[in-house]
Amino acid sequence: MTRRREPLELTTAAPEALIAGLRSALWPRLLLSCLALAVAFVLGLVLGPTTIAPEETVRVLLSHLPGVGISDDVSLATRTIVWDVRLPRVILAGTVGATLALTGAAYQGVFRNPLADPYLIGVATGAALGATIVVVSDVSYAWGGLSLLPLAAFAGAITSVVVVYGVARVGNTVPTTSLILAGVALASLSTAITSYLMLRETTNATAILTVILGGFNTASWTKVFWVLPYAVPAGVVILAHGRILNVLSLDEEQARFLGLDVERTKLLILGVASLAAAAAVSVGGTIGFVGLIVPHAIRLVWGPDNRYLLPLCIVLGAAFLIGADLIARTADSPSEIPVGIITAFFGVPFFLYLLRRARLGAYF
Amino acid sequence: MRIVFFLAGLVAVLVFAAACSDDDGGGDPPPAESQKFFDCTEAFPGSEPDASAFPAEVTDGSGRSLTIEAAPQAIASLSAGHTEILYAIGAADAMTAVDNTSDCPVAASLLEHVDAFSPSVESIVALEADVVVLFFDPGDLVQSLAVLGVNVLMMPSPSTIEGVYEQIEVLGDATGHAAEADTLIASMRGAVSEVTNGLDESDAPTFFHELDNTYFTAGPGSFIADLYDELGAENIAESTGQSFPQMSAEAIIAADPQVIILADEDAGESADTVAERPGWGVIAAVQDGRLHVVSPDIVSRPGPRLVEALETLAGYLYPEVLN
Repeated sequence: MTRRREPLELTTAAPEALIAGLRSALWPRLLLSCLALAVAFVLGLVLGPTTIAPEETVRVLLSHLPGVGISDDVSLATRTIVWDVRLPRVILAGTVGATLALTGAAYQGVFRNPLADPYLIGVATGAALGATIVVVSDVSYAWGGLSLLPLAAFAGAITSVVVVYGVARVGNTVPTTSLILAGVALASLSTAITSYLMLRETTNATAILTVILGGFNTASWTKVFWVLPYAVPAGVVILAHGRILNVLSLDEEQARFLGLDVERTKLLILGVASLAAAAAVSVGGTIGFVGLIVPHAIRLVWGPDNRYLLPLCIVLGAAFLIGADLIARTADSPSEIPVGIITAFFGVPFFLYLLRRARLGAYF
Repeated sequence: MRIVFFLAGLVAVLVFAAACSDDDGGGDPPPAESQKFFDCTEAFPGSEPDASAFPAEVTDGSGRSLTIEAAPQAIASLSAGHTEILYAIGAADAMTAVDNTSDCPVAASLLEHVDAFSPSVESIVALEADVVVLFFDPGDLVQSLAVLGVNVLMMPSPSTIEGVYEQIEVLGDATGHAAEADTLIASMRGAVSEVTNGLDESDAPTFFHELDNTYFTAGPGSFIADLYDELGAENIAESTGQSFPQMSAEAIIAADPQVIILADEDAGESADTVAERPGWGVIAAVQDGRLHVVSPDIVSRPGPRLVEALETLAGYLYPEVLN
């Protein structure tokens, strides 16, 4: 027995009865989480820099159902704000939050490292570099209603992941330690280049800062439809691998003994997770802490079993980021606060409270 | 993520620096084809400095006092706006180096270049300048140069038109061109009131001045906002209380500005891209086609070209008066 594996057995060797108890407890938890998401969603639609009565909001939403009209006493501006500004913004924030929390949990499982987050292998710094290159070079616009900035951020993130993976690859295997080290090293390089370009570039530097700090002020239906084709498959694949992630987070050797094709599974999970994280970053910026704090908070409260952790990450990740974005656009209205600052400012104290309360030696 | 905090600290400086892009053109064609107040393409011949004014006691823009012993023979200006002022007051003969954003007048762009954002002390000392003008201190540059006996004029970007006049006076005193500085200020005041006199501020429009495509704008306390104040226009970012706030898209749509001024053409924004943004189609400025592109160099560089900025903006805000 290696020493490393001992704490893990606390959870993996749980008695059958406990596992049965956990399973029966999933639905109440999921229901409670969905309720939190519903509250965040409704508040996100009803509240904003401008005051719009809740019943007006509902009428605008209903008017988009087939066969339902809207009377003229709801102003055009109100209709526009609810349907074209707030609704895509809430949905985009929810999608990005769910994606970051879910991919964070998946990375933590694959890397068997509690510090892993969706940005571990260079997605965030690659995205920032890609966006910065577009901003400093004088190329402009636009592709299918989407500006070049998110596309470049996406390309930067994917390039970064591919380089890290290529460097860390040894024959047919990719040792996780090499992956992490290559990721951290490449992130330093990208950050150095981004900082330098930003110092040289004096025009539109705030656009770079917006990508780095994150935000949903320019949310649109186009961005929602751009991120969904990456977020949904990642959600399906990762959710389907809950049990396998449990095995993987034990030990790769043991997973191999159990007949799992470890390398292929790792590649699949990291691949869909990285694609989804890159898409999320390209539309929301490199929002920090969501991918780290949401999965860990759920583990601290409800335990580490990935079969329950993963669906809860989707629901609560979405609720958390919708709530953070709501604060970002209302706390100092009509100004915006970068949402990455809000996630850290409110998320971290809550997380520290959970950590203090749990006082677990090993929960991962 | 440590970089985030470092970068956040830079933002105020960089917003100002948006003024200093290296592209001088841009913008819609100016509404009036009259003679420009300060034309970058003209020659600005220097005049003899007034030697009797030295040694001169000067208080720079940051409140530091210094004594300049003799009329400066070599001036390095690491600030685009101050470079323009120095040429406008006849200090051309002493100009030896500028920063890489000083592209106006043409004569300035031919001088030796220094980087304003991360200048090396060594390269500035090597210029053997009598006077160095800075608008931004990237970490103890003023002290490092002062210790080496270089006269440093720290001139933070003024946030009002009056502030520009005050700095012109300081530069006049420091370079021995006080009389020319007074003449420049007087003619700028005259040109400004010529622009503002004809305006009927009772139909002053509301406006949104867009600095970038994430909706950063110029709020109260910024130089840009002061230009609009001079014209009596109503800033929809007034209630933010911040100099450079990022406004919520929703708040912009709800405020329904009558005019939108775009200073972010470099990022690919235009009247068409703004009209295509989700929800922006209902804004009065979009419906009435009152979206105008301006060059950030002209509207946010505190210097003699503020006259041109006011003329341009007045043309967009009060088209009926000027046509």
